[in-house]
Amino acid sequence: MNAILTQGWLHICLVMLFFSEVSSQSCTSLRVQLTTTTKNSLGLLKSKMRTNLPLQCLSDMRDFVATQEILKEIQTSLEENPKVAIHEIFQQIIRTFNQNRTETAWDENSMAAFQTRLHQQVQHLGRCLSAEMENDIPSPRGQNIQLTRLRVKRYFQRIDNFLNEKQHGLCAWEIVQIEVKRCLLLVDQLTNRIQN
Amino acid sequence: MFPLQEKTQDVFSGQNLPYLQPDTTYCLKVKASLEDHKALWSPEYCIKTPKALDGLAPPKNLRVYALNMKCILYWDNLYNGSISFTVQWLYAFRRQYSPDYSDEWITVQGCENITKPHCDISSPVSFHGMFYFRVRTMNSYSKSPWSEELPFDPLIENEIDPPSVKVNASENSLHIFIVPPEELEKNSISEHYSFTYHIWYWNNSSYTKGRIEEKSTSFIIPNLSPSTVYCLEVQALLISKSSKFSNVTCIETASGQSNQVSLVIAVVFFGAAAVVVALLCVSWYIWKKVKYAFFPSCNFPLIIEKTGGRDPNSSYLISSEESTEKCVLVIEKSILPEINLKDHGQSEQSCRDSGNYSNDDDISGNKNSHEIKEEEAI
Repeated sequence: MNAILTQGWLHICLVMLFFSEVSSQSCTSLRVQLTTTTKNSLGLLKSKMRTNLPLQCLSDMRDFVATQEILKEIQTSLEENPKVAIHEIFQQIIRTFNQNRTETAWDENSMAAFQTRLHQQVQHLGRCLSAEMENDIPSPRGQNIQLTRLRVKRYFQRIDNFLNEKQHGLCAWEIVQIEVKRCLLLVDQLTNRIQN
Repeated sequence: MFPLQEKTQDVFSGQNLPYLQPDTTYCLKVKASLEDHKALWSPEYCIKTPKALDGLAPPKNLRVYALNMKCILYWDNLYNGSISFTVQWLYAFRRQYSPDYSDEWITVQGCENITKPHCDISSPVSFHGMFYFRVRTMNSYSKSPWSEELPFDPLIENEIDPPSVKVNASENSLHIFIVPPEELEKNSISEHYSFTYHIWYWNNSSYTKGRIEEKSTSFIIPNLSPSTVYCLEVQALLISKSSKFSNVTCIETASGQSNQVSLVIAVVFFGAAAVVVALLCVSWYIWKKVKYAFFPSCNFPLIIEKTGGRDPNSSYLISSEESTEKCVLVIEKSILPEINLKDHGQSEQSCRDSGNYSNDDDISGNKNSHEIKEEEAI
């Protein structure tokens, strides 16, 4: 009887070990994945998009300058909580580029590849995050996470406002894609804060 | 009354809900979900499905098998006879981020109006992306509604073949060569990610396995024992996905002792050869010196040989002195000059014989002086 009980416990332990192993498997190489995704996405943007602003867009650029300091919000959020921040940033980038882009002449295939790559990373990161959160009772840490997401959302809200103001015009989109590149560069720099 | 069955599922704007019963009233309510935010339910909306499904039913049980990025979609065929199928695909993010994704579906190339219940969907699939697929049944009269929407994430669902391994053994190490899992020309996996290899190796006697993680396809396992059979198996890893193990490969390391013996033999042989050569050189050198000293190859000039090594001047002087002394003591004039002249004549002749020498003049000079001295003495 005793032996059966011990064996039972052993089985339970083994099964639990197995499950924790499975659930954490895709999260072990998270930093490598994130770095590759960010670099690759940046590469897609750089190769297919304009890097210099057309001259007629300079006045629009002046209207956007006000949002420059808000990139610091992104930096703060990445420093506070890199995984959550990246999860939110990637989602916001996909959402932003899914708006009305009829004015731009961007290569649709490259844009879709860029978005789907970010989306795949969002899904994987989301699974890792929810596995981590399971152990977390709503707590100061939970509030902290909310704050991190809010910072990111505030930054992209400014971008949305700018696009709406300029009626999703060509210049507005050119400025926004340059801004998104800056944001991804920051993500790339701060990804190494994530512990594997 | 029918029992109320409540079912919850994630939906996006533009989504089709297939496989409902005909002539049935369905009610639905929706609420938004966003991370940890709480949301409220919408009001209920009820609708009755048409009386009977007068057309074809959509295919069921969609599934994808993907091996080395060759992806095949299968589904259950519910009909016999002349029916065909069409497959469509969609980027997964479009479901989530488009206001209505129902018109964003694209027909998969080569999967239009096909008769077999499976199709190769590799063409739109890239390793880094998430996709949805749907199928519908058609005949010449009608088209079925679209099937369920099947998600596919190649990063997770694609299986990897085990790599193949070649091993070369030396005395105390194994050189491993790995051939990565077979790849399709399109959608090459290693184009985006390099494999990591896990190598397990053990020797037959110990049963404890060593494990190595390697990124390169050619490497060496060092510090092994000679004359031992080692076995190994290799697994390819791609992010979170790992292949099955390769076949177990066994090989015996070279025997170290025979090598040592041959090394010793070689050292001894070459050592002995070196010593012999050195001895030969030394003895030859010594022989040369001895030969030079005692058996010179060039002869002394005859004049020197004849004098027997004595200084010619002194010898003559002494003999003349002696003769003069004798002259003083014994007066026998008739004999003495004769002997002297005889001697002199002999030496004069030998000088002439050796007339080849370049110092002829000196010798003749000496002869003159001898003659003078002798005359004086007399």
